[in-house]
Amino acid sequence: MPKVTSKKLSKIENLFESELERLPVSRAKDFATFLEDGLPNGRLEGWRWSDFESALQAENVDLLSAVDPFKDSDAIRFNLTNFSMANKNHAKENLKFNLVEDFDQINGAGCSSLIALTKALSTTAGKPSALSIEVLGQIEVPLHLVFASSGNRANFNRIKISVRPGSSVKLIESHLGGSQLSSTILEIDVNEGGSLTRTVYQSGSDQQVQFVYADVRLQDNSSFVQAALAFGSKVSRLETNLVYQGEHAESKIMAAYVIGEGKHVDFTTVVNHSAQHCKTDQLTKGAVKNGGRGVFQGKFLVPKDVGQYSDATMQHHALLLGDRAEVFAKPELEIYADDVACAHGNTSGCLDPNQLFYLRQRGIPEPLAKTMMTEAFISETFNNIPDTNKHILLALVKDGL
Amino acid sequence: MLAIEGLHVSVHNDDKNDPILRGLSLTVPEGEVHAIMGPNGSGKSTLAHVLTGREGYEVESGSAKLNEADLLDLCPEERAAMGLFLSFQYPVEVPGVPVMTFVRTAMNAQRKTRREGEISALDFLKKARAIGGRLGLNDDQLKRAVNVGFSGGEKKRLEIFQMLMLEPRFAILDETDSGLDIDALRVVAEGVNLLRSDKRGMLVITHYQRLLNYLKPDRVHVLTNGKIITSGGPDLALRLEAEGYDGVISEST
Repeated sequence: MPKVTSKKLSKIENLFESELERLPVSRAKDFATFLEDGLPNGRLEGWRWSDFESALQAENVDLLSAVDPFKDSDAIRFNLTNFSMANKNHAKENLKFNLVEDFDQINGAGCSSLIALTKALSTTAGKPSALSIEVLGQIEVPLHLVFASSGNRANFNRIKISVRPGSSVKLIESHLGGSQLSSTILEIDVNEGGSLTRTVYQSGSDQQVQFVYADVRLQDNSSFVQAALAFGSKVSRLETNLVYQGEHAESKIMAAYVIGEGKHVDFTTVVNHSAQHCKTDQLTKGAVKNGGRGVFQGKFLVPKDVGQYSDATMQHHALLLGDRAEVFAKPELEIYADDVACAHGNTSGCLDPNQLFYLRQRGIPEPLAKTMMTEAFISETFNNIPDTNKHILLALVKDGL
Repeated sequence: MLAIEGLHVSVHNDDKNDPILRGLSLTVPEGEVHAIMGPNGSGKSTLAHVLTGREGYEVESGSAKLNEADLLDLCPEERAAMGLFLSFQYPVEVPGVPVMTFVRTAMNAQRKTRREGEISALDFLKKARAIGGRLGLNDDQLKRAVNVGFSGGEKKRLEIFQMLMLEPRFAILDETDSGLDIDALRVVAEGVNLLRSDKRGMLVITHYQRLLNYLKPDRVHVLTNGKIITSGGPDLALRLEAEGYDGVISEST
């Protein structure tokens, strides 16, 4: 077992250290990586606005408070915390669930210490394991994954979804927190001609810290759509790392945030155009109220030669709804290929006073006018997901404003 | 009845107050249509904005009452619920909000403020189709976002559409004729005339006589340098067209 002496660990890290004894050998390496680096903090470039180390200093354990907006849908529902499943008849032979213990089967995802920690400690139904889901056909009924715990110090989940060639699935995820730290890693492989649509909902209390990481790998002619709505928590980060491994693949990466007092949302994405003729359309929009904090970090990497003929746009637009609202944005394009179309746009501002007066002159009270304008501003990000999901998310936005 | 008495209004510019309206008094009795004409910068649009409660203006003295209620103390939506409507000189685009949703929300918000029940979806739709048809606005246009992708003329038609839907007690039309071709001008004017009644007053702000040919105002006022300097019957508008503002103004001062 690796011994850690180099670093003074914070309370929560010490807490995890006691797990070391119980870990299988295959996970001990990941755990050592975590202990070496500690929790990500503001001194690291990619984490300067989302300091997990200081967010986890206090020993607050708050009960689950977020409600799952998709709980009544007739989706195939999988609760990762208590390992329960609903409507599994819909799955039939096209959907295979497996608990994986041999972790070498899952490709290494990312490299942050938080990812290493999650890999080391992920459990399903109380056992150190990860869930593998295989999609073997066109699945019409959505697959709904629920991440909700209650009163634990920490909850770690790890899932791999493989979409076989020509297959498709619509995924819904409810990340509801409930632990002081909830962390989830998803690995998504979409093979030749396959497609995956991901609708992500995140909400937690101002005592909880959440991390949702997705590693997405796209093969030839595959497509990937992501629409996320985050309300944040004490600190929340939704990170997507997408790599084009095959040509003529397409993705739409849409995200929205509505952030109230004491909440924090960080949307971080890295898209690697490491195959030719791929297309990325990214749009993030958000509204931040007084005392809320939004972070957008987006990076497109277009390597020489293999990134040729890429077509990529990145947009981030934020609405600041009060004097004490904060938004930090870092859009980056790193382009080494010479025949590509890449564009980005980034704005932040307040509601247009001319628009507001127009609505009020027609008799719409100021609070309702502001809600309508904000909702209209954000709604564009939900245009690519199924209508039922879109309506649920829009209603949540309205409630959250 | 709209009654404005000795209204002084300024705007704050570079640490000093620029007076725009300098003691404006005007009365529009119930059932009458009055026109305000005047050169650029005379304060016409400021008057429309101050009456409807737009921010950015300092009312220094004077009063403005609609049917005995003091307008200047109320917020814009309260004035709207009392029945005050402004047809904007530059209608504002509201991306993401369809016309029908917008007008229905406005109508129900006004009704709620007046403690009336909501209009049923079916009644609303029937009314919207009938009025849209009269103004040459089709279903497709009414489903689009408010003023987004509308031509200048369509935007003005949409203002009149909203006015006919909301049936205000008092309407201010701020240069509703600007940017309209001859046919659109006639359609818009006919729309406005539909609303004329002995219970409803209107104040029409315009530069040109041509709109007044259709609207036939009861009185015409000339506004210059923040004050009404002369008033008269419809003939005054014809004289202004013939002699220009300079002639009429120099005679009156």
